[in-house]
This record gives sequence, C-alpha cells and structure tokens, in this order.
Amino acid sequence: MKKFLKKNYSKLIIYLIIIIFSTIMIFPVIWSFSQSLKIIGLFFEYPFRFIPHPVAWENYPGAWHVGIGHWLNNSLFITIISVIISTFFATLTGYVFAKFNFRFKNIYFVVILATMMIPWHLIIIPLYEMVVKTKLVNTYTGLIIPFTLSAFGIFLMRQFITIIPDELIDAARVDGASEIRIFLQLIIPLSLPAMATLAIFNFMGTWEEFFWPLVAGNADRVKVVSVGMAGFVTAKIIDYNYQIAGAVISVLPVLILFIFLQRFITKGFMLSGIKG
Amino acid sequence: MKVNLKSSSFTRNIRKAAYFFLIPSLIYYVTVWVYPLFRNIQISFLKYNFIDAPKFVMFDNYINLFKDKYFWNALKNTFAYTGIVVPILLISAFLVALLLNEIARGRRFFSTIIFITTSFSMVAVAIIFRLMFVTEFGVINMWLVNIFGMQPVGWLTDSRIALYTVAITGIWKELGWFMMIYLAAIQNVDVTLIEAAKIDGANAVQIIKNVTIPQLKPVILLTTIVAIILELQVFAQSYIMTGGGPSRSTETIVYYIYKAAFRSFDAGYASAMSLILFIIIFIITVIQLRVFRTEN
Repeated sequence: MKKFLKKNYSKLIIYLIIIIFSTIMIFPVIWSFSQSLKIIGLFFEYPFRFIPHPVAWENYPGAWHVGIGHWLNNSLFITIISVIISTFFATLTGYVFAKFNFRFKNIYFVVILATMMIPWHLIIIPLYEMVVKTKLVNTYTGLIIPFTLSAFGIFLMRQFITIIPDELIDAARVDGASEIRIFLQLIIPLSLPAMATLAIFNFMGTWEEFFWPLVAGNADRVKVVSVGMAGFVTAKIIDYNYQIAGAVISVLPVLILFIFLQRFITKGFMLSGIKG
Repeated sequence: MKVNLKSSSFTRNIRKAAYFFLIPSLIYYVTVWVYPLFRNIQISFLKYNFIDAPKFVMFDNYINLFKDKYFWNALKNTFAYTGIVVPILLISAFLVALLLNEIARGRRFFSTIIFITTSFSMVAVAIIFRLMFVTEFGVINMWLVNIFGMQPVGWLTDSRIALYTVAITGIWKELGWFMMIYLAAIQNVDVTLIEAAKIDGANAVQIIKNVTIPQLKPVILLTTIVAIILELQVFAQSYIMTGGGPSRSTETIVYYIYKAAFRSFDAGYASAMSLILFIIIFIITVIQLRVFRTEN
C-alpha cells in the first residue's frame, strides 16, 4: 500500500511538472491567436482576456491587405516547387549512395554531410554575387536554387533505401528494366513514406527560411511571407493587431501540415536517428 | 532465359547509371557549396561592393576587423547568446523528454503541445515575443507589475536584459524540436537493460544515470554540436526584435555580417567575418568530437 502511494505520488509530481511546462510553452500560441482577434484599442488590455470581446475578425482581412496575401502566394509557390525538386533529387542521390558503388563514394558522402556543418551565411555572399551576375536576383528561380537539394534529405533517403532488398532491384534488371525505370517505377513507389516525411521537413525548412529571401528577394513582386512580415513589423507602424494576425496567418500552413501529418514527422525523427 | 548479373556489360550499365544519377547532386554541390566556399575566401581579400571592379587589399579586411570594436562586441554577444541558450535548451529538452517517457497516458497530447512551437517560423516567433515583451503594457510586464508588484522590466529596451529576452525567444522556438529528438532516442533505448537494472533494485534516477544516458551519448553529442552551430548563427531575432539594439547589445555576428554585406555593401569585410565565424564553429566542433572520443 505504501509503495503504491509512493509510486502514484511521484507520477503526480511528474504530471504536475509536465502540465506547468506545457502551459508555459503553449501560452504564446494562445496569446497570439487571441491577440489577433482584438481591436487595437484593447491590444494591451488588463486583465488580459483569452477570449476577445468584441471579436475583431476584421484584423485578418486587414493584414491580408497589408500584403500578406501576396507574400503568402509567393511563399507557397517557392516552397512547393523547391520541395518537389529537392525531394526528388534527394531520393535519386540517396538511392545512388544506398545501392551503387562508384569511385570516391565515401569521400563524396563525407563532403555532402560536411555541408550540414557549414554555416549558411558563409556561402550567401558569393551566392548573392552569383544571382546578381546571372540576373537572377529578385526572381523565383534565384530564390529556389539554393533549396533544390539538402544533405539531410540525401542522408535520410539513403538510410531508408538501404533497407530495400537488393534482390528486388536485381530481379527488375533480369526482367530487362532500364536503370531509370527501376528508379521511377520501383524505388520511388517503395520510398513514398520516407519521401513524404522528407517533403514535410523540406516544407518547414524552406517556409521559414529568412536570410536568403531577405537578401536575394527583397523586391515586392517576389517577397515571401517571412521577409514581408519582417519589413512590416520593423517599419515602426503601430498596427499591432495586424502584425499579430499576419504572424498567425504566416504560420498556419505549417501548423495545418503539423496537425494532420504528425505521424510522418515523428517517423522522420525515428528514421534519421542514431542508427546510421 | 537466364541473365548473368555479374556479366561485364551488365555491370558496365549499372556503373554508367550510377554516374548518370549523380549528375544533379554534383551540379548542385559544385555551384551552391564548393564554388561559393572558395569564392568567399577570395572575396575576403578584396575591397568589393558587388558592382564595381574589386580591388585586392591583402589582409586589410582582417586587420580592420581586429581593430573593430563592434566586431568584438558582436562576437561577445554571439557567444553569450550561445552560452545561455544551448545548455538551457538541451537540458530542459532532455528532462522534459525523460518525464514524458515516464507517463503513458497523455504522452502524445503533451508532446504535441510542446512540439507545436516548432511549426512557428523564427520570424513569426520574434514578432509574437516582441509584442509580448513590450515594456509598457506588454502582457508579461502587466502581470509582473499587477500580480507581483514589480517594476516593469525593460525586456527589449534595457541593454543589460535584451540579450536574455532574445535568448528566451530562441529557446522557446527550438525546445520542441530537441525534445522530440530525445524522446525518439529514449524510446529506442534497449528495454531489456532497463528491466535488468530494475531487477537489480536500481531506482529511477540510477537507471537514467547509468543506463539511459550512456546509451544516449551519440545523440547527446550530435544535438550539442547541432545546437551550437545553430545558435552561433542567430540572426532573425536581432533583425526583428531589436535591430541589434539597444546600444548594440543584441547585435550578433551574423547580423553584423548582414549589415556589412547588404547595407554597407562591403562584401570583403563581411566575407572575412564569415570565414572567421566558420573557423570558430569548425574548431568548436572538432574539440567536441575529440572530447567525446577520448571519453569512450
């Protein structure tokens, strides 16, 4: 009996800590959603009310007109195109590393992994020079190019494709399938779960990229949502309600992905973990 | 009909395919990584504004950097930020993961809540925290003043405090990510070892210290390296929350690089700074790998 009590007592403390911690973590989320629905006059009201009164739905169209709609379009376009390209090429490259032998294989793989350690800003100045010289500055192409492949993606896909039995590939070769067909019609269908996981990670990464679009896509026509919002809030305007509504709109696509596809994300953590 | 998989025409075809499949990645890595890396080194010896003809200036950029008190200030801020964020971030993420692993009911729910912060981009988080931490009438200060009877804190306006506020923001944004990595790793720990330890009469703390943590060493090393590299490059918070201020107290090295390259268009100076930061990151990573290796 005593032991039972002691055990439950410690469980209770664990739950208590977790609840307190989760509350602190979730507070800014709830705060931002509720602020996004307050009229500007009540933005700094005290006591703070979680449920706004009156509810200012007009903040959302308001923020939309500031430019969010346009920036969101640009973000979606750039992100979706680069996710498609980078997921495809990461699968292709991961497949080569998993199932083929070629000269300098190990050195090349180490070089690729090493790029994960190289800080992004180290290549940004030359990259900027490159897009300026090729007239790709302030174009979608220029904004997409750096995100058309990732070391993490190659690593993840290699991990996954290694598990696919060689016999399957050899059997297809015996049947006379070309190497390209084997990749497109055997490897890709078998890798779809991992590709989905990678696509989500790529989406999140590209969506929140800030430095590169700030540097190479600062023109209104191609501005993405992170750059647009940063410009809006640092312009010393006091439309706090629009700022918050804009921030909320800007996270919604990823938030929605998160809520519906959490299964894949959790799998990504398992897949990329320690076992390599 | 039987095809000999070892036949020479067959292996030749396979090898050809391998090189063919490597073309996209080679193009990408040469244009986006390898060439820019070398070009960056080259630019760091130039006086160059992206447009006019560059002028070779030898070590001028480096010499000027060492004399630039704002460079040292940015370096100091970046290290202070990393020094605050990395331990708090990793230790609390690890503890939360351990606690979540102890509970069965509600684990998914609570881990989702903590992980959800990851879906917020750094820009959005910076916008939200900037408004939460407004000195006058901001929600945090209103609670401090009205509930605890404190003076309002200059979260983003006091040069002694602003860096901590920026750090809190970074920790909040990234904690869920590291917590998830640890949780996945903890669930991969060999259960039979834990059972054996339990039979030997070890308590929860002993099991964590002697069974769980030793098994998680590779993950702990990897996350430490990743976190340090990540935090040394802090930028968005400085740009959005403070603009580097007040009185340059939150100006980080990457923010200073940004200002040098894209506001003053002094590409050479910025490249030299980038290279120095890279060397710092490289040295820190190598030291960590060494320490880890000798420990084992």
